[in-house]
Amino acid sequence: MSLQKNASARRRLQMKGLLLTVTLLAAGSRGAQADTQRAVLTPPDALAGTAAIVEGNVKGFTYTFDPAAGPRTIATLSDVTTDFGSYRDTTLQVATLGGPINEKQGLFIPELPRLTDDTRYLIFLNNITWFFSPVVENYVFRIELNANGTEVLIAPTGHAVVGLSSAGLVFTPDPVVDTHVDFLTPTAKLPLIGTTSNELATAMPKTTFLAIVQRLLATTPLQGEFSPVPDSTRVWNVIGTVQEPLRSASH
Amino acid sequence: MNRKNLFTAAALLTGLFVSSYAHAFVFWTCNGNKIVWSDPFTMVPNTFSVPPGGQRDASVNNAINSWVGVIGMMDMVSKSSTVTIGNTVTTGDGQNDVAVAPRANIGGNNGLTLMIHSLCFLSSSWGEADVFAASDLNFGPVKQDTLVSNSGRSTFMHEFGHAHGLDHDQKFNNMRVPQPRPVVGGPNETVDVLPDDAAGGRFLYPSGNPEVNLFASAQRLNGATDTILMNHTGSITSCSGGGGTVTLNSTVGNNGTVNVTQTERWWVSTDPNAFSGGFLIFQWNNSTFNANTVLTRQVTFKMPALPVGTYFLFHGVDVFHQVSESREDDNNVREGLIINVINC
Repeated sequence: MSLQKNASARRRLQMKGLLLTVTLLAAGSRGAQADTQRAVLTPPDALAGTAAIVEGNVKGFTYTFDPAAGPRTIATLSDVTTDFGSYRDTTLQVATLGGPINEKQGLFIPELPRLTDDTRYLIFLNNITWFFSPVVENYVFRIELNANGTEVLIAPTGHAVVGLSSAGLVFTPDPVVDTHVDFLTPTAKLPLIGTTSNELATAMPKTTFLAIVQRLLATTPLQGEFSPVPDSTRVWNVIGTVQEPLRSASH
Repeated sequence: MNRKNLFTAAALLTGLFVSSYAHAFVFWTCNGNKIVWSDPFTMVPNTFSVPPGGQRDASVNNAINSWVGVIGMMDMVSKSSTVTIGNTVTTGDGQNDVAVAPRANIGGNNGLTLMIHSLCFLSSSWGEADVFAASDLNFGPVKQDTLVSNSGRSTFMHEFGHAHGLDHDQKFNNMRVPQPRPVVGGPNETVDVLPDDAAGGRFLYPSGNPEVNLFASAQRLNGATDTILMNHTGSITSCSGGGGTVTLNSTVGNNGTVNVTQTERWWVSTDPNAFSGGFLIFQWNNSTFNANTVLTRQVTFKMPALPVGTYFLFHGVDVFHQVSESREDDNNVREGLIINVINC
């Protein structure tokens, strides 16, 4: 009986904590507003958050600052073609949070994918209301020709893609691109590493990659529309936090 | 069977090299100059999301203590005695915050670090770093004989690497994306700064002091697929009379600055926490591990006679304490392999 009482008391305490959390979050600023993003662990997870898979050439960058949207580095892609999904324009702007804030300071977010000048990409575009980047997780791949003239894909880590399945992506053992970035030329095209010809020869052709994507789409079809602009309800420099659950905090 | 007999029975058949690498950390530059903090920086915990004494707090403390624990690197990060108590964190206020946020608030990422820097002309430096981890992660300790993809401890370790100025790098390290990331062995904290991370920290903030530290790990880098795998999973069967041949992957890291020669051992026990020893099955004298490297070797030997039972497999480095290390509790690892000894 006393055990039941204790358990009930604990539940009441947990419920009070839960209500407090809900109340505080509801009362939070615009920065605490959540969107629908979730963890991307596998390619089907990525496809579930994708509106369209497109290809395009980066033709230039602009930098903007808005008090709400914050500093943005905007890559403009031209000659955009759509492999899957509903994107219909021939140009695309990828507006990633980060860039000059004022004449003295800049914002940099290491986890966000970075595009470079004069580079062709295959991009998975979000189907949700996004704020940090319109790209689904790190599903943005640089397209390069290997020695055979076959288009292959290079991930943001600098490693070429050699495999794709519902379980995950497989990459070359070593990077084929030097991913080092100098902030003096933050959008400069990253050089291929001199010894990459063999690595690129083992990379999966883009056409094979897309054929596998098509098969995966049979079980995880693309849905939704891509929005080219970030969530207008959020403010760049305010992020809402969340309380630690009582069970975890008590350990 | 005494130890001498055991060593004779456990004859080494092969010691096959599986993978090894030296450091390859990546960092950002401005006009060729590394971008660093000009002074040590202090992180202010958001106690609304990281209350003192909780698992999240322990994760933050572990990340800070681990980075500060790198000898040869200046102590750059510390935890502030002041806190924020609100349910938001602001970037651009000159204060370095550490917090936990709903995943959706940080773009679906496990972690996110917002870094303010002076604009790059001839040089640049960091001025603020706000570090976040997603609230749906598990902030508890990471078991050494498993692979996890949702560790808050690993996320904070990774994000604090960014906060120091390190970029992603796909090695046996904490700066690789995505999880799982490798961990060290031992009875205590398993998420620690790894050789490539430490080399990066020492490069960005050199103090010149030497460090001696080896660790054993139950994971390895599969160079062919650029993934972290377990050395072993599942179970094997061995006869109580011994004599069967066993091949093991064994990983040792040296996250110090000094090459270390010492003695390794492999042992089994029915106790999952037998870090200080059980039934010795093999010993390798005078193996050397170079500074800032991780080495996975395939070792084959004959099983000794053992009592019938279910055994956990352990691998230890510097088992005779031949060297004085900065951390002694990460030398012995429980591998992810169960050995069922049956009566035959």
